[in-house]
Amino acid sequence: VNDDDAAANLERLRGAARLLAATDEAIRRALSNDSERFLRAARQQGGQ
Amino acid sequence: VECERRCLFGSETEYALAAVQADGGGASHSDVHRGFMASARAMLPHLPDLTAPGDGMFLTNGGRLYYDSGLRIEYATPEVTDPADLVRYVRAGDSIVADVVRHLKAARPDWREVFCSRTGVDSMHRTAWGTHESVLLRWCSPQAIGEALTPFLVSRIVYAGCGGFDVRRRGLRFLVSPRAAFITCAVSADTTRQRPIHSSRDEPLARQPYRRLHIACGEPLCSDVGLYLRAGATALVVRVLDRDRGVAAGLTLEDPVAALHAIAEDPACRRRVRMANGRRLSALEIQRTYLELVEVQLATGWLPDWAEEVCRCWRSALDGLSEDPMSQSHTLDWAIKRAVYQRFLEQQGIDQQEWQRINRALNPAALRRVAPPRRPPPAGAGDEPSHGWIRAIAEIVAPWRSAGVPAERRSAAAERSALERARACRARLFELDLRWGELGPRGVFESLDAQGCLQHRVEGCDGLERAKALPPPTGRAHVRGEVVRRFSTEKRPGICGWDAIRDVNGVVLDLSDPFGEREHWSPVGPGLAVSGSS
Repeated sequence: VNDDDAAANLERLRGAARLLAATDEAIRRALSNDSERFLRAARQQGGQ
Repeated sequence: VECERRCLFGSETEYALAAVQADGGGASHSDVHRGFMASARAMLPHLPDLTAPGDGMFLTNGGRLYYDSGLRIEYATPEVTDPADLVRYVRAGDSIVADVVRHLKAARPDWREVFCSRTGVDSMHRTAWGTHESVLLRWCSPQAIGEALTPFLVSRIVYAGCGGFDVRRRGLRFLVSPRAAFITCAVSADTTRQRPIHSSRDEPLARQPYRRLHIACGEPLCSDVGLYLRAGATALVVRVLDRDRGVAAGLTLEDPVAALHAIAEDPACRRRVRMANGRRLSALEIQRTYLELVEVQLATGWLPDWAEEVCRCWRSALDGLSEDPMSQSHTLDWAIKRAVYQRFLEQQGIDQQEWQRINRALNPAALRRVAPPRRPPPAGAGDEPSHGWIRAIAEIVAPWRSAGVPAERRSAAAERSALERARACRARLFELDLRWGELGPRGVFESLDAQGCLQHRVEGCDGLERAKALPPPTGRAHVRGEVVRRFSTEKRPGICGWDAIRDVNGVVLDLSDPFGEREHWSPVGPGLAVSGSS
């Protein structure tokens, strides 16, 4: 493996790690403490 | 000639809107929706909507915001001639609705949360929201174009599906297009009580010879690429078929609704569906055939300037999906969603095999098999459904027994704990799904986008603030938006529809020519009605 390949692999790994961290953060931010309670409260939201 | 080259289209987005009270309970539907419209009237320059003056309004960008007959908040874009404009005006609508929600929140400090989301379905409560699209027809009627267009609409979900869960199952099954589970017929004039792929309603909202095709199977999309592709490809295919629907001969589906369900259930995008001539084609193969039908017309000069760019983007998406559907997990709604939900399951320590066991255990046949016949549940087992689930969990843990799981994990308590874990996990996924398109920083898509994880933007779709206030540069939408702005600034009373505006003296501005750009006011004449329906 030459230096360029190693650097590219490292960058890919870092990218994947950033993506996972961002996904975890988005999930954490979105979810309430009690999903079943939220779903019940949000039941009156229109729709058909 | 220039007018002949132009396509004209628009779309409507339905929003899920609810409020959570301080005690964690839900506020009443009518309080929340009435409050929303009151906030909208207070903060947005507008003209009242003729058909629903208290519940609807036309805006200075030429679009419409209203409380729909289906009891949902809905925003319709102005008519546009370019898919980049469609993206811009859909996002402008999202931003306008988000502004109104903030105003409502400030007006109701007693509500802990006001929740507003672009969502496909609420899997827990089996509720659906849609995105209806309107496309101008010049030669065909909506009924006549239906058979040739339906295979395109059925197969386009590979890039235009919003992703979500199958409400027909008690377990958890991912669908490329969750709305597909609600679609019950290929064509119907009724889009409220029935769920057609497209509507046969002949309501042109324009003068002869123009007609309006109303497509009812769309879903709210957060990805700009998905939105751009759906709008552009649909407008081009409709244009080609409107001129000569015979070019799609041989593409008729044997059973369009069954095909839609089959394609929606297959995130691998490989499943083939049966055509009326006996051939079996995958969604990607059907899409490629339509793409080629459009591409051969590129050189003829009667397609719009943007057609080539849409075809390039369309081919690129189909190539990516053919190679590996999850290669689109930064770009297309359903693929992004699937990747995030898989990550969530990983966080919970649940792998695919365990979900398959849960799904098997939770399907109605399995529940019937394991439920005790007409006996009351034992003390402490909870209500009847829980009791059924507790028995069902035996099926989930059964494979563990043969895999040498320690005795303590096989106890009733362990079984109950596994059940509770599955239920809680399912509820959390449903919340995540409902909050996917939530407006504001809590929305999953907006959060991922803000962290720079997505590649869903389309060049040339900027200018959001301008699109919130100003109409598109051409056509009757431009005239409508300018008149709404002038009337609201001068505080002149008037009422507005898609094809006309009427002032307080009964003088009418005729907007029945979709490409008309001149303001021509005249006394009310016979047969000149103002239409506000969508």
